[in-house]
Amino acid sequence: MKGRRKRYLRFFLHRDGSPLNGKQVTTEIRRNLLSLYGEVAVADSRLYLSEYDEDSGVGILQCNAAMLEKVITSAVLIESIEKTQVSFEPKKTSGTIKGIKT
Amino acid sequence: MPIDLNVRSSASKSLDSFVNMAEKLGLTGFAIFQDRDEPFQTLESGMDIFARVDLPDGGLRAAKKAAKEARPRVAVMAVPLRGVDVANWAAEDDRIDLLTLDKPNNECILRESTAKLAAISGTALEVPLEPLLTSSGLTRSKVIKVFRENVQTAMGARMQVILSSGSKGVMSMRSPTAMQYVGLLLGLDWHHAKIAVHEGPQGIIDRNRKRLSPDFIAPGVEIVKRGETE
Repeated sequence: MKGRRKRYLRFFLHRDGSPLNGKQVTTEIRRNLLSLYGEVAVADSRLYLSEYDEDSGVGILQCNAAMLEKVITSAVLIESIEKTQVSFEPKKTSGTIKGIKT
Repeated sequence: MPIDLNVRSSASKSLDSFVNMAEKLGLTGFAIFQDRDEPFQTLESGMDIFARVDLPDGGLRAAKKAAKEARPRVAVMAVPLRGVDVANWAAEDDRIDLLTLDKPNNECILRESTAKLAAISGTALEVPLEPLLTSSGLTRSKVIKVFRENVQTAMGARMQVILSSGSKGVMSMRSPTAMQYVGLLLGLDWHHAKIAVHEGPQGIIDRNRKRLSPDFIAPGVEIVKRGETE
């Protein structure tokens, strides 16, 4: 289907507390996306975590290209995950997983 | 060179943690509310620390008095957007750098006439991110409403908009890119969001550094060379 291009985002999750797993991170991004932009936005986002290192906080997520801005804004406005204070820092966006790693 | 003009670090011992976080996020400086010896200070690490004050609520006369006393000691001076009288005075007075939306509620209404005055004098509208982080659901939607409406009024009058963290804790600080994305939520386009995070705050600091210099006489008039006395 045309118009369903993927976009990748490399990010750094600063945290003040114990490491968080990937599921906790994606759940909180989806929760905030739902709160800010609604159910249709979550459905259209096709948000997945491609890679995530719990210890370093570095990760790559993929989503629908058309929803990238909303996904990042939602992630940036997360204050805490499971009572761990966090600061989401978007690093780089790319259309390919290869491009995001260079 | 991104600067965060609103960091609410209360205890001096926590300054190091804010400096550490600012370095990680790629900030080159930030403004804090602590009493400082100098309005502008550069730490050994290269991080710039600026003294900031928000004028207290209490009417126009109290605000004018506080501004006169505080201006020589601080790099950034802000007035919370509340009543019309104080807002109009702050917008017109070029000593005031920011009209800030620190407690966004229905009383925070930037009038078009106020925004036009501010655009002429160079006073900017400051939108702190903290209220967006600490609220959710319907409460956050009200905060977003106040922010978006005031940003729209400011942009319509060509008043400068700047984004800051307003962080009370280290983890409430955000990277410049992160703040730009929040700018999109507030109705700015990517270009203006970048100005609101980068050029805007830096411009305020540069302007005040010049104004607080001993060589500054008045806007456009400064001592370029001192004469030698015999």
